[in-house]
Amino acid sequence: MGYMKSKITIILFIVLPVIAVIMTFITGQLEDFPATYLTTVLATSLAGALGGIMLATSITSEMNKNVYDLFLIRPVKRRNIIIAKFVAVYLCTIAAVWLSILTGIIIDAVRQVTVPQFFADQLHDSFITVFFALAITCSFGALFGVVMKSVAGSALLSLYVGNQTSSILTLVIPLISQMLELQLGITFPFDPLILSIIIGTIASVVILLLTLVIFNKKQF
Amino acid sequence: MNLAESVVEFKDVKKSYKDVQALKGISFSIRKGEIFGYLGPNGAGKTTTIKILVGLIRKYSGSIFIDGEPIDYGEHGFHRILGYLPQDVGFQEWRTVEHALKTFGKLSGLDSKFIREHIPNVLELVTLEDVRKKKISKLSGGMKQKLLLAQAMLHDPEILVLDEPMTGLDPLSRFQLKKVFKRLSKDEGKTLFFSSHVLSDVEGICNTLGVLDYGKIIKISNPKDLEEEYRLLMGDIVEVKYFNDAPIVKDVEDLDVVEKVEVTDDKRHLIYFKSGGNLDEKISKALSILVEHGSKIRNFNLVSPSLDDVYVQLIGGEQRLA
Repeated sequence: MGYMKSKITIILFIVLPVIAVIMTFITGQLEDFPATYLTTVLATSLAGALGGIMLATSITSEMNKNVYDLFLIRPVKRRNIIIAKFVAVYLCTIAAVWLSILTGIIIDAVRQVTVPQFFADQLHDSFITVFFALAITCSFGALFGVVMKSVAGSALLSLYVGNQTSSILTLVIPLISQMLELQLGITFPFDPLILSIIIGTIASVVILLLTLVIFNKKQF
Repeated sequence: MNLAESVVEFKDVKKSYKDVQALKGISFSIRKGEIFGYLGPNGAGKTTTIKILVGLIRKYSGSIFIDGEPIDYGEHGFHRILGYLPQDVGFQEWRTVEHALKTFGKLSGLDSKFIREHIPNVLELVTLEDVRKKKISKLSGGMKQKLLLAQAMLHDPEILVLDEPMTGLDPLSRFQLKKVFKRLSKDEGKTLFFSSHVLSDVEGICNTLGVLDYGKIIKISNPKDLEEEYRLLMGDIVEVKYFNDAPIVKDVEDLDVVEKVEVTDDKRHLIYFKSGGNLDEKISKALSILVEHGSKIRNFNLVSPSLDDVYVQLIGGEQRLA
């Protein structure tokens, strides 16, 4: 878990909660509007992009600097290097999201604002969905990190492709299910949350496996 | 120290990158306990050879044997036996020196007690004990190079593979490292295989020199034999510094034992003798002419080819520079 001590992770742990506080101040005139809601929406939407970019840039720059040479000459399975990196960035980003939401909860507790049930239900779903959306962006981050030679290129691709793909979970599925119900009166045949979890898991695993295959074949 | 046993053996190893053939069938062996200097100009194929040996490049043709057995990159023991100092490599710089070494130790499969006990030893060996708690990002280039050596030695490997280990080091650190290499070879019986394009790095410490050029081994010899071979090839040369206003070069050149005389920029004269015959007599004849013409001889010595001369000759000499 050495990655937790890296500068970028420490910044992440500070920046996300700070953004939550700033947003609360900016929207301070909206009395009784729960900061928890704001911070959750903000943190979950930022987390995917951040996780993917961090992973992509970190892998590309470390590969450019031949950092992995020192790992690969040891009795370590190549795939473990990428998996360890993926898990470290994924967990650190999730921890940053939690910290941010916790900040919102504390602000609400201090202001004595309660989160309405409608908001709470939405938060619950988006809070779970972000785990899987983040898994997708991080998988793309790992893929572009391994494939690309340019740090900027890997960052841009993971931001664009990763975010677009993960939005299937965060935007497309909830939107389709709501539109079907509201405009056509048809009940969406699947639970949107369960569907997001299934799609998120499958997509992440497939992309990550592809990444591992490519990394395994790479000549250093 | 047993120098007879071959611990690493390359047999007709070839490697191509797209259209470029980096290694054109190299064969050589490294004996147990020796320091093998692998020399060659930039782009000769040294790093490719080393990366193949340590398993970073696995697509090649030919065979490599370690301790007489065909190399098996997947075997745990293979990684245990080799320590590698790469060229142009970076660390995860947010780690401290100690943290990085602990991580490398764990990845090498060492137990925590061994790592704890061994880190101070390797840091002391490379004179980095004072920066143990320092972040790698705060280290100088030379210190990072020493840390690379420390990580290569951490698991106490039998063979150290060092790719241009002196790069970025100041003269004192070079001197220290040479001492470390000698100690590792003589006292601990380690085998060292190290590459360089700078001859002074390997001079005085190598038992064997292998010279690589354009992906081919062009010479394998011990340094003394190499010098002697080239001394015979180049003939006897005497360097004389003298003062004389009279133009006497022609008179010396006219001697039947003299091939030619070269005057250097700093007014020294290099007398090239013809091969064969007694060297003492040839020198006497030349000196007699100088003395007869009233020259004041300030300096006189027999020139032996330096390893630098030999190396430059081997890789194509001055024609290559032209």
